[in-house]
Amino acid sequence: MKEKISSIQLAFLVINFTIGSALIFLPSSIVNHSKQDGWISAILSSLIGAVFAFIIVSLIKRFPNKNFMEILEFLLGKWFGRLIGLFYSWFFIHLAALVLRNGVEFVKINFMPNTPMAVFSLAFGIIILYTSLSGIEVISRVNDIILPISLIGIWLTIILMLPIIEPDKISPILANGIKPILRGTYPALGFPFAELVIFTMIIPFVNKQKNITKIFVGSQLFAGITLFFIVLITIMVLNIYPTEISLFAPFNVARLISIGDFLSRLEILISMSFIISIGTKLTISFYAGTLAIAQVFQLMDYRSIIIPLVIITVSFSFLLEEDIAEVISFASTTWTPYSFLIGVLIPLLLLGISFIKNDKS
Amino acid sequence: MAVISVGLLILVVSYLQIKKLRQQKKKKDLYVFLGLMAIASYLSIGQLLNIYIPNPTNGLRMIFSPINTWLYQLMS
Repeated sequence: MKEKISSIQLAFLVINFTIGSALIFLPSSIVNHSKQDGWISAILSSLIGAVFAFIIVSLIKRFPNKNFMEILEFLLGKWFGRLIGLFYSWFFIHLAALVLRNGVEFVKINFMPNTPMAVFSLAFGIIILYTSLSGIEVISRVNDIILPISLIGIWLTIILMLPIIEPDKISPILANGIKPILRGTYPALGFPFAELVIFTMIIPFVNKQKNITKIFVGSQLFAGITLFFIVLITIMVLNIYPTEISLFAPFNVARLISIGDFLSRLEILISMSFIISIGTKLTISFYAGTLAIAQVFQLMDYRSIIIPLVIITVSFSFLLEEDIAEVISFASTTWTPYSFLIGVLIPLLLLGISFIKNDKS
Repeated sequence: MAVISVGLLILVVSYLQIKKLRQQKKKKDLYVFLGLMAIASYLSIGQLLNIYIPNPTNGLRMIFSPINTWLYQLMS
């Protein structure tokens, strides 16, 4: 492993990955279940997400000289470990295809409804082809430049919304007890936070492994706070029902900005942030998928299999779902237990096995 | 038209890549590349020609959506 990234670069990648597509899709999926208490669900889910991040990073830290596929083989035996490794590779590629689809639908529905989807898919495909050929160092250096731009877009939108918020929209607090909050927390755990398991492929690249737990969990919490403000502002401005039914709720919120009759149509700020973070999320998950397959088969260079995987990812982004409604239904009925299994249960099991193995030897 | 261009793209890329990998004598890389390229051409060209392609989403839905319903019942 020749390529190295610094721990700050890892933090930037984690922030951009976690915000990713959740920036636009999280508020509706939370508010759908927990109504005006959605902001409590957002806090709760990022706190539980910190536990997930902690599990992942402590699993990787126990084996400082191994990559994730070698850890799987070491703990589960050669063939079963490789089978689970293939399952993980499929998950990463599947996630890349879904994120690609989200980005394509966003651009198509909001900006260019008459252009065929293939145009945007191919454009994103070229991006992932080029970035993953360049490697993780280049991805993280580009991310260092574009993450601040994305964060400025998000926070500027939040600040510009302040004149039109109505704080009484979030009352009554805890009107129906704790259960609606739990129901709203549950999809948020699966959608951005359990996906952090992708960083099992990225963490071994970090040059100083010392403070990595703090940095990883801290950056996840920072992204969680940003998402919390997005959810809060969406509820306070749009009210509950419009948030539930709109496809891109924060985008619709940003449309309402109008300051002194001349500063309006600022939804482009949040769209810019969304395209940036979705691009990074797509790149990271595709890169992790490619690397996972290369490591499972113990290839000498992961670059030789990038082109077929780009074609597979782009085809899957068309094939898996018919339209945006099916994407959202898949995310709300299937995605959460699926990503729980991969992102939380299996890493937890591996951590347990590693403790048992250590005691024996 | 689309089918022909995608097919040509796949052929050209495969030709260049196989030549390179054989020169470098990376046997394992070559086999994995060929396998993945076969899947890729099946998915992309099959989609353009409307050939039946099994959708993994259906299987995932069948396994995981009962668990999802059960978890929601726990929380209501």
